[in-house]
Amino acid sequence: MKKITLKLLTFLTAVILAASAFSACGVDPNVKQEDEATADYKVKIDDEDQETERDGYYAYGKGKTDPVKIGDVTVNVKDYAVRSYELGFMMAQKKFDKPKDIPLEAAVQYAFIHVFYDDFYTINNKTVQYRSAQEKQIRDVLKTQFGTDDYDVTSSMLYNADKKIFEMWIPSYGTNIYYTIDAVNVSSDEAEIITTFYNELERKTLFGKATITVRVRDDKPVIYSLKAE
Amino acid sequence: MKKIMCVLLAVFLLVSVIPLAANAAEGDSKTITINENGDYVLDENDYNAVDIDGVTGKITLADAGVFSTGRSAIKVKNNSDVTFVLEGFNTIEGDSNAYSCGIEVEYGSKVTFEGQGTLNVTGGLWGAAIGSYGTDRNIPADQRVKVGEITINSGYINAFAGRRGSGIGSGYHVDANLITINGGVIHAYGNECGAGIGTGYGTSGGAIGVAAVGDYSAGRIVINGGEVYAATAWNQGFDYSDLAALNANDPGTFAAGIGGGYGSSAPDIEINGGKVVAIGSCGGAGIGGGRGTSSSSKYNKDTYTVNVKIGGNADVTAISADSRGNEINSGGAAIGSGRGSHTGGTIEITGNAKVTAICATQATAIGASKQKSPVDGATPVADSIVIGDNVELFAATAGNYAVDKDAASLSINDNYFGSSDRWFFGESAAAITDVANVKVESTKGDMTYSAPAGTVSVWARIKKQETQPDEPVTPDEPADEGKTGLRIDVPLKMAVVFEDGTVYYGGEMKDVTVGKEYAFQMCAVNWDNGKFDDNGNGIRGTVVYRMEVVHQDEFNELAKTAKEDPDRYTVKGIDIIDNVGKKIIINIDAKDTHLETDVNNFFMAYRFHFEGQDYNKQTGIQQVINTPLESLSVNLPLGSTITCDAYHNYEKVNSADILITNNSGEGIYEDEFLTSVNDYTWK
Repeated sequence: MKKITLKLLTFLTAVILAASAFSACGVDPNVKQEDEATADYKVKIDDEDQETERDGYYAYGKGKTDPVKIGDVTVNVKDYAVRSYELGFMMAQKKFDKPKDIPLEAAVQYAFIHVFYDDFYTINNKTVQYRSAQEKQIRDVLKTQFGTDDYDVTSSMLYNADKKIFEMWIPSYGTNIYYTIDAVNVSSDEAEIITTFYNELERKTLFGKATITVRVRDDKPVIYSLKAE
Repeated sequence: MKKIMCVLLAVFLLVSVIPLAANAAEGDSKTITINENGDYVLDENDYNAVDIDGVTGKITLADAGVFSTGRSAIKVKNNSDVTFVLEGFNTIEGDSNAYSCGIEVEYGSKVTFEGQGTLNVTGGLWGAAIGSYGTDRNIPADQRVKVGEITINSGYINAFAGRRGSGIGSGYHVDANLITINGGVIHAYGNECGAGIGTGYGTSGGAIGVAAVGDYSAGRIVINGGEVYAATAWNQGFDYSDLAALNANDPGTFAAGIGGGYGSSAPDIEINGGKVVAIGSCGGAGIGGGRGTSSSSKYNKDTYTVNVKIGGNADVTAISADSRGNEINSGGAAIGSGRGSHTGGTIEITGNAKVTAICATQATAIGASKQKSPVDGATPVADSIVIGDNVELFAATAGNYAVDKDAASLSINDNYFGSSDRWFFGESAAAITDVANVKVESTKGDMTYSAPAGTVSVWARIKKQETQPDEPVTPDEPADEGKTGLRIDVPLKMAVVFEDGTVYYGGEMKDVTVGKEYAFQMCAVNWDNGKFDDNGNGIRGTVVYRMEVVHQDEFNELAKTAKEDPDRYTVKGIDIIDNVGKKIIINIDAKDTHLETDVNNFFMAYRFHFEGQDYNKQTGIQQVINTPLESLSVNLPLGSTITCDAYHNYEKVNSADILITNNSGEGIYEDEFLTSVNDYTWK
């Protein structure tokens, strides 16, 4: 509980500082901004999983949520369950067998958001939210997430070739995610995480299923393939 | 009854005594009669019916709703001359079970539409959305219902015909009269053989002089400005970039986009300016006559006429689509006559007009349908065709002459275009590449199109190689320095949201400062209420666009520079689109200036299909189309992720997520001209 309280205080402090710094500003498209604090900021704990999240939206995980190892590399399977939700349902990418199969616009938009947010489901914008990013930031996220930046990113519709930046109105993806990790199959070079998503905490009605595979690149776990339905 | 009369009297006194500020709907009554000259307001209340009786004046529609039962929603009668000033979002609906219109304009009366608001107006049974209702067949012309005069100066008008009516014009078995469009953004849809703009269902053929083909007339249609989109069916949309899909959506309406409904002639169509897109189908011309007949006893050769004049700086796209595969050899012309007529009529395209004419069948693109004449069995030809010196023409057909070479009279300036014979590209587009001063910019390989039978044998853009300098734009009035108003135009069912969070719908005015840059995003609205907000109505795009307004002199300088880099900039009289910077520079002094977002790059039109036929199958999109619809085509913002659901008999059977991007659908459209439409087929 202490750990949770500390996280909460740390985050609140950051939010207050950010809000103070930017509260007098309008939304200037040319100025990178931090998230505004939201009035309904809160932290909840799922009784079973001790999952904490921000801004009123939470990811409730059950099942085989313990981290696994591919060789010496630890994989937080809950993170990748959420990634499979983001890619499969929020970005509508139902299937890719390798990172290069992800359509350019989906890859860039996904990376762009992860420049600013750890999780899509916490994004709770109540109005337009402008962000801009440098090409290097996009490529860094692509490498972190997929182990490769082999995309023609500057041909994306999010790229402003005049300003030489990526720009985006950040959607409000905020939602609760209710999931159960059904199986985690680990081999010598990858972990396959099979997750079922539900529409409610009681897990009565099916939202969808996803199977994501994670491999290791440069001693770090990265997303390799996905199938969602 | 006394109570009702008292209320009505009170309402009448109120609206009469307090013009402009009056709220015409007081008390319990929602039926309003206005019968004295003056200015009135119909506000956000819902009304059952409104009668405007012998009135000269202004009626402001400010978020009004009129939903009638058993009659037209608004009747303008007894020689009224009223101007409807559009504010906000207005909905007017006739009764689909009664002969009625949305706005009925009785013969002798005149209506004019102005303002910057939106009007969604729907006709009732056999009725036009705006115009007349319908009557039974076999009523002689002098005894038929007639329609008054309709003028549109501005506003954002979506006119949906009732069954067998036109969007704007006449109802079933009724002649249209005078329709004048000077501005605004108009989407007009016919229904069951009614034209988008013109006549409703005329006839499938009957007694000559009474109900024969040609005995019904589209009257006089004049378009001087604005943006006009006219199609023959609600679900047809304007996605003419893929004719095969357009054909697939063709409900077989037999009517012209602009002109005649089934069996109706188009004696007087004049387009002098503005942007016009017209789609006819199933034997109806894009612009011109409706489908005729093969029977000489049902065809009145003395009255079936087609006269189309296009000039000025008009930007016209005319399409004749056809889903009836067995008629591929003889649909309607893109501009000219419908199938089953004796003549292609008279067609004159002059001035600096830019005309795109595409015929999905083997009729001529400009001229006559090539179905045998019902009069003598001969192949019909146009009476006269004139193509002016400065016209830019883009013509294609699935197997005939782009321009009717057999026209009885033909005028084309050979000095610019070389041998006139070369205008008739009956063999292949490649045949003209060696003709001096004619440039083929596109061949059929660039066109995503597969005709039901045969292929496109002509697909060529024809224009002078030496482009003429743009006509200097004459400012209406110099705008003041600093703040000024700018009209925001959007694609159908979309909105623009600026960086400060303000939402603008089509036709609304925004205060802007000259020289200041504004960032904005595109959003789809909730079709149920036409709104966008952050409470579940509509969906946002992610692409960042910008706009800046400048005065004429600066615009001219920028345009001059921009023309040197055509790959990056699209230069028009009203604006410069910077495709690299995703920015629009707007000439605030240009006539009819506005933010123009209903063009490529700002949205993606998605068409939803089902394998096999579409009947009783619907598609819904969460937050956008909560009530599922059949044969859906919907404009969506780039970068959004939609969750759509398929229904069969309104029972959900499938679901899918789609990230909306330029190439997110089934189609691959590499031509810039074709980039704003895509397809999704439910399996």
